[in-house]
Amino acid sequence: MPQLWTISPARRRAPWVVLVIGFGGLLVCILGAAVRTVGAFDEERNDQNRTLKSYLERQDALDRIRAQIYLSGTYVRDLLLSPDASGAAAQNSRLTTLENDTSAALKSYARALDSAEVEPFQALQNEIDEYWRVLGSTGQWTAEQRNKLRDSFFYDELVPRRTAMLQIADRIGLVNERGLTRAEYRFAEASDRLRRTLLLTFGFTLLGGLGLALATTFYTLHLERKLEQGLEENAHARADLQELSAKLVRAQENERRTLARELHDEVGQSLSAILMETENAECAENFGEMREHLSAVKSLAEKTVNEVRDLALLLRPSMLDDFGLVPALNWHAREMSKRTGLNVMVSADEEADDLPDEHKTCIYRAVQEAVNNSARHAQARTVEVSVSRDAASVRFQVRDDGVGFDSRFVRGLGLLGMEERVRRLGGDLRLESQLGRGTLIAAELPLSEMTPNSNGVNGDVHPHPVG
Amino acid sequence: MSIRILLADDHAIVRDGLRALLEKQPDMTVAGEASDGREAVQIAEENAPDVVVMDIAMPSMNGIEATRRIVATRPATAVVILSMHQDESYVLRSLKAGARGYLLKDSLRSDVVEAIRSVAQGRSFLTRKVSRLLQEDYIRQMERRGVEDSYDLLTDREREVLQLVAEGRTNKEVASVLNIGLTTVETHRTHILQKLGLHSVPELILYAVRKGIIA
Repeated sequence: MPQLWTISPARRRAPWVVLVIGFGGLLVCILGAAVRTVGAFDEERNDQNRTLKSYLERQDALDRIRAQIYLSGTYVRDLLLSPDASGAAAQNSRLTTLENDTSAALKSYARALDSAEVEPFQALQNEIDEYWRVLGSTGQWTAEQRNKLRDSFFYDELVPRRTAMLQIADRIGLVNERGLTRAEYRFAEASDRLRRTLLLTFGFTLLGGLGLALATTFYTLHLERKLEQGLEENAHARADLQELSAKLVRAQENERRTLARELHDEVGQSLSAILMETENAECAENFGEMREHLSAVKSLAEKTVNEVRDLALLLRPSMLDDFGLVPALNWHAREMSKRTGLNVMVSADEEADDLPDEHKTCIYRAVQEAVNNSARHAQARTVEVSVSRDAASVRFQVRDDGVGFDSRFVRGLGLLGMEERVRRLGGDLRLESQLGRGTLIAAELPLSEMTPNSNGVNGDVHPHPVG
Repeated sequence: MSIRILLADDHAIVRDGLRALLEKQPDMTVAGEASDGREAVQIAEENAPDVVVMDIAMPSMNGIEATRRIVATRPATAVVILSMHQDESYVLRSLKAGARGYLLKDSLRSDVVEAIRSVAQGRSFLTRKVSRLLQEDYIRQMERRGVEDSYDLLTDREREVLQLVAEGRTNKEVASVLNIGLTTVETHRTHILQKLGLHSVPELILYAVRKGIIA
């Protein structure tokens, strides 16, 4: 079927490019979002772990410092209460160990100091240093000194200092806790950000996916519609073709019927009459009667000859084969003029006689049909037929001054047949007609690598026969 | 001295009919029969007939081509076409090929005999039906196109020359009949052809027939 399905290659490719880019982009988006999300989660969890660990460590160090401070009080008390020097020395060494422990704890705490902690931590350090210095001074005390200064030292120096230190430690603990809270805020913020990014990515992906899905759906629907349309057109075309072939078969049958009737009614009857008249002549009584019958036979035979000749010419004019296209067209023009009063004027190149049989027949039939139409339907007064020929092609046109018709709607069988004949020879039939403006039918037939008059039919009769 | 006739037709029944008719004429002899154009050319070569009665539609070589060949090799032989074609394209082409007479197969028997005698004497003969058809066509065309009749343009002398030429007479014959010089006849002929827009003697004959100037 001609031109039902032709979509240009570029147009066919474009939707697929869009789809591939779309789906590819979507997949990349999803993949990127997943990788980013996993990475962000990992990072946050690590951060959280680190923060929590450091908080716990520092809290632990702080607790140790507190405990050691309490313990130091006890040791000092024991030292002050110890009656002999050896006991005091033992307590002293315990105190020294404790002091080292405390400074280790302090150092471990100092490893990750928050800016808010620097000041209280410094105070604590100073306080602890001072504390140990004060406690250290007790080591050199004698037994009486210890006895004498014990209480005042304990209550005036040790307890207040201890209390101060513990307070500072509490403050640091508080700062540490506050740091944790701040970290938690930060985590919350980070996860918020992550959430937002995720939502954004998901939203974008969703929208893109939706868009793509819509586009794909519409495209599929469009294709489906097109397919249906194509199928429908196909069906139409097939139906048209069937109708046309049915019409052609009918037309052929009608032609045969006409021919058969003509043969039977005219020729057959005439021959029967001749037979009868001959018999009559055979049985004639006298010479005069016989002559009468023979005269009847003669006129009947003349009539029959005419009938057969007309019939034969109607089927295919012998000039077409004997002399070529132009004499045949001229004959047809004269016949039409004689029969219908239509003024048919033929102007043709002499070269147009020398055409391949198929082209000759095609042009003759097309012109015949067109002129017949002009006479029968167009109420034309004049028809101009022209045929011209060059090396590459032969053109013909038939123009009448009749009533014309609307070529969009009217397509008779004759016109279809004409179109078919012309198309089969690679030509194109042009039809211009408007109501009241006459009709023009024109066509150009290509002459591809023509062998001039190679067909035997014309060769016999042509002025330059072979051999 | 009788007219020697060659019959060329691919139908034996037609030849037989013609032979029966012509043998009855005291001044005619059937000198041979041919069933196609090629054979006709060959027999004409051998038998040198005065007149050939020739059908157009024949196998192997058609009558028009056979006429052209016979006239080319034996100008003295006159060809009468006897065909069922009555269209002017056949008549014109036959005359162009050199035929002197044109008969239809349903022509009267007397026509056939008369035609043979005419062409044997060097004149042309067209059967009445063909002349009538050609005249009718011509008149119809003239009326329809409203063309001015170019015959009016001819002088009386030119009309005389036209008729004689159309009857198939040679320039010399025309000159002697009209009692004028040979070159004058030729000048008249040229003028006639020019005025009537014709190109050859066969066209001139057709024109004369159409106008009813000759049979």
